[in-house]
Amino acid sequence: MMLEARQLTCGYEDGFFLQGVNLAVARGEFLGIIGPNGSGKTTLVRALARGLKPMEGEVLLEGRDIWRIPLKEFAQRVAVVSQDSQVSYMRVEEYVLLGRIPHYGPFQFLETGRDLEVARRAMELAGVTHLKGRLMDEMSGGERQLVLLARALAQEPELLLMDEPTAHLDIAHQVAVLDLVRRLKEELGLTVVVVLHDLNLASEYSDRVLLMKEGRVRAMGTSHEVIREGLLKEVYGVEVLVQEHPISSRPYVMVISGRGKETVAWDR
Amino acid sequence: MDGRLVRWFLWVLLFLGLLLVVGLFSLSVGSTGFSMREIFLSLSMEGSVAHSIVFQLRLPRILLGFAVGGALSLAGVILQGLFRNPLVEPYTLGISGGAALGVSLGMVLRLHLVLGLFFLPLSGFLGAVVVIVMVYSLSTKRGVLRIQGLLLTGVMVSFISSSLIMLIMAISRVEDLHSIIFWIMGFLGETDWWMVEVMGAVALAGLVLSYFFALDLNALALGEEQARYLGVEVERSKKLLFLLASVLTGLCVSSAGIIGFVGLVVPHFVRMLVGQDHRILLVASFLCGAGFLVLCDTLARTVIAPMELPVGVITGIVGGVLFIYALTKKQVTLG
Repeated sequence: MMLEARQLTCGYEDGFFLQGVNLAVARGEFLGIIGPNGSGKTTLVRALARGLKPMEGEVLLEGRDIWRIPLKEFAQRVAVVSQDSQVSYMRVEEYVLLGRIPHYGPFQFLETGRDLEVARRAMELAGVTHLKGRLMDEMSGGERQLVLLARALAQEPELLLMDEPTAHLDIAHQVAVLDLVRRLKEELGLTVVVVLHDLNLASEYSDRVLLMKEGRVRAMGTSHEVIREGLLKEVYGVEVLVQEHPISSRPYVMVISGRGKETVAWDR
Repeated sequence: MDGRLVRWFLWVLLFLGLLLVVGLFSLSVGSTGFSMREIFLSLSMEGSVAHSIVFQLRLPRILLGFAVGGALSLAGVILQGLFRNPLVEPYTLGISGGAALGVSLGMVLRLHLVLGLFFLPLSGFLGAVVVIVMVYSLSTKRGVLRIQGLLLTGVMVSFISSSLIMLIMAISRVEDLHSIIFWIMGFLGETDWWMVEVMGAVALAGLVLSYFFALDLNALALGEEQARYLGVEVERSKKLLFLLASVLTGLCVSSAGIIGFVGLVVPHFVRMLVGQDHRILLVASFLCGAGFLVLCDTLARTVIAPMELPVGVITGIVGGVLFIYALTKKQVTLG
């Protein structure tokens, strides 16, 4: 298994917890994580990315506890694209080159030819080569997301963790980002774990889907096993219609207006 | 991208050239002016008036100015990178307040008359160290240094120490009052060679050490969590960088008093010129800060010669005006 969580329990000081999370992702798999707001998706990604220490249980990268892997080696193998990737006054090329930092040798001061080459390829793959001289804060949300992805690719990771890479994007950019991720998975054998808010995108792109509810894993399986009317109603508390996508024959979720939950918990 | 290395090299060369020009200019002007030729001639004429003015009065002062200006501006770049906030400067952390308090106490208690002149920088440094330890431990929880907490604690410590200084000034004797005020406003004139040597060595060592963290600072521009995902030992880097900046600041304040704005304005301008990459930003800021301070000091000792102005007044006025001008021209932001 590429990535595994065993009885993972962790949380924040304010009392929000992930409890007893078990999951396993095979090499080259695309795992989509879904769940309502506040169900712990982002927390789970942080725990898998070594951003949050487990209180109980463990996270394993190819059988090794991630907290025992040297930080630098971990960063060479796992890249993270977070939701709140703060963007600074920096040019796109410089930004993408930051992804090479984990690969620097102990006394290396400048990027090597190989670093530059990898960054160039990463920009090419993400289709942002033409933006390389632009400033990060001059770009649209969709372009920026692609640049973030290019930076992650410059790390040459085996595992890519993404937290809502399609948030605030229009459908063209949503499809562009996820098509790219799927292509990377297929061509480079990248293992991908992505938090997705949009159930239809999750259903369409994921090999398997993990459904979170209140800090626990409620269901995990293929989209046909997880994206079901009853399960979604139980977790999200809203009635939906699930039908088959005419082209991909994956489950497709439709909302029914006027059938929303009467009181949505606005807590998180 | 090979062009980048060339560009960096040219920047360093340019700033070194400017530094040399500023240094020579400062050597030649003053109550007695010297031409370049006279300066070179006096080099070999030990015992002459020109020799003692140039090499015993002006040179140590200039070298101290280089070291203090460079160190302050280096501390500024480091802290701005660490806080991801372009408005942080070495003095925001209360270090100067602590040092000033230490010196004021020393002066009022007249310890320097008993223990010798070196006691003033020493008491300043002790004051700075006390504040550093206090701010650091107040902002560390469970081994995590909280950057925002650090900033707030530092600002509050500054307020407290400036109030205490005012209290001391209110109850101190008139002759002490004058020296306290002069010291607080920054003064490079009272220099011994040993002070120049210590300050110079520390400033250069600080520059070299900072380069071990250049990439970490670049990564920190993305935020602490992102930097950790890039394999940077964020906690270790933050703590060491904070300590480095603190020691540099503490030493500057104790050897030259409070010289504001160098650590704030210079990194800001340099960032506009050379970009965000700390691999060039660190050394460029160091060189520009050194040149800027010596230029200001030269102004300070010439505009109303034979009287002298405190250099902190000049850096404040020049720096502040330039800063406002730059803000209206171009918006530079971090984060």
